[in-house]
Amino acid sequence: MGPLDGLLFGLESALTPELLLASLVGALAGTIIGVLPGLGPVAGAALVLPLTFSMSPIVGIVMIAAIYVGSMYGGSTTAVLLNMPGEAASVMTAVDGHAMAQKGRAGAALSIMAIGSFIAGAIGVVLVTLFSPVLAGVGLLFGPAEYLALVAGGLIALARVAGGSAASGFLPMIVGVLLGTIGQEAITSTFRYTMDVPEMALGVDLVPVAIGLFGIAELLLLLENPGRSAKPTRVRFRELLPTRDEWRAAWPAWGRGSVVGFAFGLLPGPSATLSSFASYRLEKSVARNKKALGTGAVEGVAAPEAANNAAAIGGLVPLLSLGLPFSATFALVISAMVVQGIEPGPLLIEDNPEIFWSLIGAMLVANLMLLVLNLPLVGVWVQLLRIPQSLLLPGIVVVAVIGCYSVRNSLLDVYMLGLMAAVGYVMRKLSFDLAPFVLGLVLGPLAEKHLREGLFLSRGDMSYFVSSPIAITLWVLVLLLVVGAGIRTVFTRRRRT
Amino acid sequence: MTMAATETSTTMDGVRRGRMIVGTVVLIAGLAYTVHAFSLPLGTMAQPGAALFPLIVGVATIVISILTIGEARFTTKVTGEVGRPAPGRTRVVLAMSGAIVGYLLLLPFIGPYLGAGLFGAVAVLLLRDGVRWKSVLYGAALGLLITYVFIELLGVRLAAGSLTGV
Repeated sequence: MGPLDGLLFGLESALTPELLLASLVGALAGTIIGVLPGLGPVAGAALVLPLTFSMSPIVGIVMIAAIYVGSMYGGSTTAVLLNMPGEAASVMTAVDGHAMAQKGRAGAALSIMAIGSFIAGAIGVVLVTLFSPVLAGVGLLFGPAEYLALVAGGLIALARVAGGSAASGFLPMIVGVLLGTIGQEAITSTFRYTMDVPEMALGVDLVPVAIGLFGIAELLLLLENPGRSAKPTRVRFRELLPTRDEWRAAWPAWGRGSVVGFAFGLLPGPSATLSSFASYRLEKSVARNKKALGTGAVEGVAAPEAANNAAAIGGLVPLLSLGLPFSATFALVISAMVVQGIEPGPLLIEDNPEIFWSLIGAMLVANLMLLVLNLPLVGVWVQLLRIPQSLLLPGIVVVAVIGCYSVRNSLLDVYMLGLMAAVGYVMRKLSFDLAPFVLGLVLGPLAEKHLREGLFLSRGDMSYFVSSPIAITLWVLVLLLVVGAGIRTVFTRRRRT
Repeated sequence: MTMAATETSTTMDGVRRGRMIVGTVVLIAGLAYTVHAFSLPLGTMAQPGAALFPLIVGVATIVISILTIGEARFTTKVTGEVGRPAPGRTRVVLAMSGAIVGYLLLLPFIGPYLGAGLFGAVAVLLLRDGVRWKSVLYGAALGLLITYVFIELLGVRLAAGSLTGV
């Protein structure tokens, strides 16, 4: 199936009632998650994950991915209306977006965000369609040595890039990998670190870890400061239309933001956040209206929004082609695939083309839904923001606990939720990065699998893992990334002295 | 919390102290983990057993935790004071944490409905400034409603409480 045929197949599949509903529910749920404080896309997607086990595989995967893009929009909505970005990726949008709102142009800002996100999503989908099969073709050359380099090397690189310092990413990563070894080992059925507790044989589930680290811990941090007293800016439906000048300023910014965002999405790390910052800096250099940036310039809203959505779509390329999630939310997609018996990796496009192309098609449909639904519903989002925290936060906790308990009806998951909430709270206070924790939990078992396969194939010869050009190249790239960051610090220090 | 140039500093701030403590805890856990790995079947290099990967992970955990301790002790890469709650909010955070722990511990005994209702009542009472009986009522109703939606409308199956049967 060629790229164009695949995309058409994907779009046709995405327009079936089942996937339309999944895209709709995911986009709306994602927006609500982005608008409301406390639950980010990772915790929100983790809550949805157990509900997807009884559905067909593609439905759950589409829902999680739609939550991701929806949460980007939701986080930016609070950035504009309240000057409070719901996600890190919306920080730059808050600068000019809220300034526009203060000038009475909140509706136009929201429209520019929504339209820009859709355009970026559409451009991103086309690029994913072109890039992914090529990358998957390269991936077909992969054996255990290459897979190990990709998974383990990618995990190490992600941990280094994600954290500000080496320990900020590596420590959570290795703890996540360590937790992933608990339970009944797959090949020999040996019980590892179960402490004779029968429930521990099932291992540590991703859902309570993700919800505890990213959801409950975030709630506790929110409680530390009094709830926001600012009232959200009111937006009338008729104020949603941008002026002709605003349209003219937005178009080139959308294009630039989309390209920057997609490129960042292909790379490991917090791509949505980095891309929004990078695109804003680009606008400061090249935008026609650059002097107005910071005071309510349209480019300051259009470009970062396009960038963060394009980055989310760009992240699909390594996810679908190589089975490598570059974000914690996409780690949940991998988890959803594995639970449903789907092997992520370069063979996905060959073995499960319907999943591959349907997800790409559904992303375009989800972006269209965000555009069509979220603007008329802006009044609903404003009302959501008025819900008092005294009701919202306990409600989120109850939803989180029920969600965790329902995964396996296991008390272990409930206690793990509490433990991870405490761990997440402490780690956030001490500036550790949490995304590598989740990635370690998901990718650690995959790394073990490829290591053992390689040793079995090579009859115990460790040099097998550095015997192919692809594996060597990948390890060298990882080494450069890890060491390069340290060398850069040394040079910076020397320049200062 | 700020990123600073790598400089040795004898003044240990809260974040650095905290990271040293976390690094030490992980180091101890890593040592115990690695020691236990030796009790698992190692197999051979050609047919590795269940112990191989844990041994690698255990050693990596020890190395990384030493790196964490060293980074906190000898550099100021991540530094600053640990952010404190706003005045008067420490009590709220602690009380809410206690309520969550209580909810999780009581859940298997009192079941999802009673657990969510009780937690909701306590949590809203803690967070809301207003008439107390109204806070309890709103919180209990919130917990019960959410549980009802999940169990009856979404069909999520949850184990009943061992003491209440509900």
